[in-house]
Amino acid sequence: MSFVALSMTQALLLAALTAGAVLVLFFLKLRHRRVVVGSSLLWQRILDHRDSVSLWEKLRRWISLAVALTIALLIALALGRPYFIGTFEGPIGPVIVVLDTSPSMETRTASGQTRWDLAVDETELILSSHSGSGFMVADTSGRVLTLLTEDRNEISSAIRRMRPFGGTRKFPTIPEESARVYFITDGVDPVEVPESVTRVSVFESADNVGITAFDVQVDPTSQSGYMAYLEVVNYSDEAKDARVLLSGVGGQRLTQDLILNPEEPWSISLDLADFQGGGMRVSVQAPGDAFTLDDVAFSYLPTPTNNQVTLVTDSVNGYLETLLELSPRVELSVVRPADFENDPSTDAYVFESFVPDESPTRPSLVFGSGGVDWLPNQIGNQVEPVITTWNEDHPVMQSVPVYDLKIDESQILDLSNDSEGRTVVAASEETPLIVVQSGMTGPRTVFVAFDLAASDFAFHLGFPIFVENVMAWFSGEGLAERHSLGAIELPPDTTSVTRLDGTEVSTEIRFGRQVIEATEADLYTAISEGRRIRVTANLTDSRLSNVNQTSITSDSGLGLDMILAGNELWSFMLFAALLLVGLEWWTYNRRITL
Amino acid sequence: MPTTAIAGFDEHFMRKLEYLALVSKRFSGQFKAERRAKKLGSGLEFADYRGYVPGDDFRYLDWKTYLRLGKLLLRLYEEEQDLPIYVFVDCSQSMNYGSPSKLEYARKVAAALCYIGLANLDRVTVVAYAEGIQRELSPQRGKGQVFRVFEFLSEMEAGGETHAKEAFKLFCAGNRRRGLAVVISDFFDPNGFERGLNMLHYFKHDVFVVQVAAHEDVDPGISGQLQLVDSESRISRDVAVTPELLKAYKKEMTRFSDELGHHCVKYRLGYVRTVTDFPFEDLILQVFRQGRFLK
Repeated sequence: MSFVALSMTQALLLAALTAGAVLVLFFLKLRHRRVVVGSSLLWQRILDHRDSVSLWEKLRRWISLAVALTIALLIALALGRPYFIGTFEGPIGPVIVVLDTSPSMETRTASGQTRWDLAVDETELILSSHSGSGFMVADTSGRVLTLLTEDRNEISSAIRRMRPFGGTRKFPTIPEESARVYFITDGVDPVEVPESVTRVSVFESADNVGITAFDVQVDPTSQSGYMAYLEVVNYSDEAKDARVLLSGVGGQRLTQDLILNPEEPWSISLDLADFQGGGMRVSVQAPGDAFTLDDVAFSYLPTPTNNQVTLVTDSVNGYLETLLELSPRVELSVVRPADFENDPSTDAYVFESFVPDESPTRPSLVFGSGGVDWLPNQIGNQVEPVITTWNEDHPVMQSVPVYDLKIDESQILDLSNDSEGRTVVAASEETPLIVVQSGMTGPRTVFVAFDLAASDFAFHLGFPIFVENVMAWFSGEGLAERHSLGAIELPPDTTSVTRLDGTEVSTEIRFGRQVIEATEADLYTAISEGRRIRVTANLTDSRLSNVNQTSITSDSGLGLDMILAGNELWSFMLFAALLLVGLEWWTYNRRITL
Repeated sequence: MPTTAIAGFDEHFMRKLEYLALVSKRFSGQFKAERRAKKLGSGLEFADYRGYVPGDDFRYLDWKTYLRLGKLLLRLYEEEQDLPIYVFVDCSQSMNYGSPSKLEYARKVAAALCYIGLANLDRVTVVAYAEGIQRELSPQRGKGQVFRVFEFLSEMEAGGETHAKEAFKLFCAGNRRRGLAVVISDFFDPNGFERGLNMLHYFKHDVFVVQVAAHEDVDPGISGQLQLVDSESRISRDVAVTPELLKAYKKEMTRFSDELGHHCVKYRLGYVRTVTDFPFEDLILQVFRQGRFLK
C-alpha cells in the first residue's frame, strides 16, 4: 500500500503517533468510576466464575484496544490517501511509463516546478505504487530508455537522465500487450496514443510570450539582399508587456517594447542593411513568462560576396539570364553549350537544358538535363509530377514555396544506389525533383529534375529566392540550415561544432550518423571538409509555444491523483472506521466491550 | 410516651409497635402450646397430679381430692418461665449500604421484636455484632425497658467486617440461657453464614433468621465500566457491568438467599427474608406466622 499524500516514512510516523495516542487514551479511559457496594461477595463469586470459564472475558480488554487502535489508524491513515492497485485488480503485467518529451514540458508551473518535474514525480509515484512484474520507461522520441526490469534504481536513474527535447516525436511501440501503460503528458504536442494507454496529465495553465518565427531570408528586392522576419505571440490569458531585442554579431541592436494581447501575433519584417553578416539573436522578455525555450531564437545573415557565375544555356528563354544579371552579388557570363569549357575564374555554373559529361570543377546548378554519371541516375520520365514534399529548412529551399508548382514533365531519378550523399529537398510521390549534393567528393551541386521550359517554376515568386539561395549556398555563405530543438544531424565528416558564443559542442554517433543534441536555441557552426555549415536550432513553433493549448480533456486524461482516486482506499477505510465506531458504540452500550 | 426523644423511633413507629403488640396476643394464643415450659413448678397452669412425698410443699396439696378419695395428691403446675430472647443485629459496614440502609431497617425490626418481647415479659437481650460483639444490652424485661432498648438500638453504628461465627462464639461462651436467638443481618459474611448460625444452633438456641437486603443489593442499578469497592474490606475490582452481568448478579443474589433459606429449613431455623423497601410491620407479621417468636 502506498500513499498519495504521504511518504511511507510519514505514514509510519503518523501510524506510530496515532497508536501511541490511542494507547494513552485507552488506558486513561480505563480509570473506572468507583462505586461502593455493600459487599462484593456476590460480585466476586460471579466474576471469578465467569473469568474462569470465559475466553471472551480474558480477551475482551485487548479486543477493545485492538478495535480502538484499528479505528484510529483507519482514520489517520485515510488522511494519507492510501491506494493499492494490485489488490483490486489482481496480478498485473509489466508497467510501462512513457514520458512526453515535448519541449512544452519545460513550462514552469505555479509551484515553481516544471511540467517535466511533475511528470518525473508522478512516474516515481506510479512505479512505487505498482507491484507489476517489471517496469520500463520510454519517451516520445520513440526510445525505450530501460529494458523491462524490476530494478527501481535503474529506472530512477534512467528517468533522471531524461530531458524534454524537440525533434520528431512518436509514441513508442509497446513490447508487452499485457503491460499497463501510462503516458504522462501535458497534451500540448499530441502524439497518437493507443486507446489502452492511460493518460496522466501534468498540464497546468501558464503564461508565455514566445518567438514563433525568426528567419533571415533572401530578399532580392532589398538593398542588402536579405531580410529578417520576426513573429512574437502572447499565449497568456491576459495582455503582456514585452520587450523584443534583436542583436547581431557586429553589435547592432534593435529594441522594441510591445503590449501584446492574448494570442495576437506581432510580426515585423526588417531590412538587414544595417546588420553585418554573421549570427543574429533575438530575445523576448515578458514578466511571468513560464516557458523560456521560445524566448530566444537565432539565425544567420550571410556575408555578402560577389560570385562569378557562368550560365550555360542555349535557351531562348532569357528569364534565367535576366534574373542572374539583376542579382547584386552575381557577375554573370553566358556561354552556349558548344562553347562550354571549365573556367577557373568562375565561382559557379548554371546549366540550363545542357549538362557536360564531366563534372565541372565548380559548384553547379543544373536544370532539366541529366543522363551523365555525375548527376543522379535517370531511369525514365514522369508526366505532370506534383511536388508533395519539400524541405524548407535546407538553405536552398528556405522561403521557396513550391507546393503549387506546375511541371509538365520531369525525369524519374533513382537514388537507391546513391553513394554521393545527395539530399532530396523536393519530391513528388514518384520521384525526387530537386536534389542537392553537399560536395563530399566534389563541388556542390543542385539538380532540378525538370526543365524550366517544362514548368512554371521560373514565374514563381520563389524562383529568384531559390536562385539566390543556391548561389549563396555555393559560396559557402548561404543561409543557415534551420532545425528545431533536439537531435541535429550533421555531415558525416564534421570535425568540430561550435555554438555562437564559441564553445565547442561534442557530437555523437547515432545509427551511424553524426549528431548534436540541441537542448536550447542556438546557432551552431560545423566545420566539414573545410567548409562552414551554419545550423540554427530554434523552438519557433506556434504549436509548441502555445503551452495552454492542450489536447488533454477530462475524458482523455486525468491527473494521477484522479486516476489513483479510483483505487484509493480512504473511502473504504473511513467507511470501515465508521462501521467499527458504530459496532463499538453498540457493544459498548451493551457492555460487551470496554 | 416521649418516643421522639430517641432517634429513628417516632410516634408513628410506636403506634405501629402497639398495633403489633396487640396482634401478637392473637398470635400468641395460637402458638401457646409450643411455647409452654416443660419444667413443672409454680406456674398458674395445672399440669398433673402426683402422690405426696415428704418434703413437698403443702401449698400444692389438693385437699378436695383428699376429702373425696382420702389420698394426698399434689397438684402439679407448669412453671412459667420468661423466654430469653437474644436479638443479634449485624452492625458490619455492609449493613450501612442502601437507602434506607439495612442497619436502619434492622433497627426497626429489632425494635419491634424487642418491644413485643418486653411486652410479653420476656428477657430481651440486644447484641450488636460484626467481627465480634460490638456492644451488648443486658437482658431487659417489661415494657418499661423499651426506651433503653431503643436507645441502645439508635446508638448502633455500622463498621467493620462481618465475622458472625466469632461473634456468636464469643456470645455463647458467656454461658447464656438457651433462648430465642433472632439474627438480623444481610448475611454477607466472607466466612460463610452457615458457621455463625451453626454456632447458635450448637448451643441449643432456637434461631430465627431475618435476612435483610437493601433494594440496591437486589437490583444494583449500575452499569458501565466500574471499579466496585467492597464497603467492608475496601477491596476493589474493575468490572464492566453489562446487562448480562447484572442478570447473573441478580440470579446469584436469589441463589444466595435460597441457600440461606435452605440452610434454615435443614436445621429447623426460623427464616424470613426482606428488602429494605418492604414495610417492616408486614415483616414482623411474617415473623409471627413462623410461630417461634411468640409463646
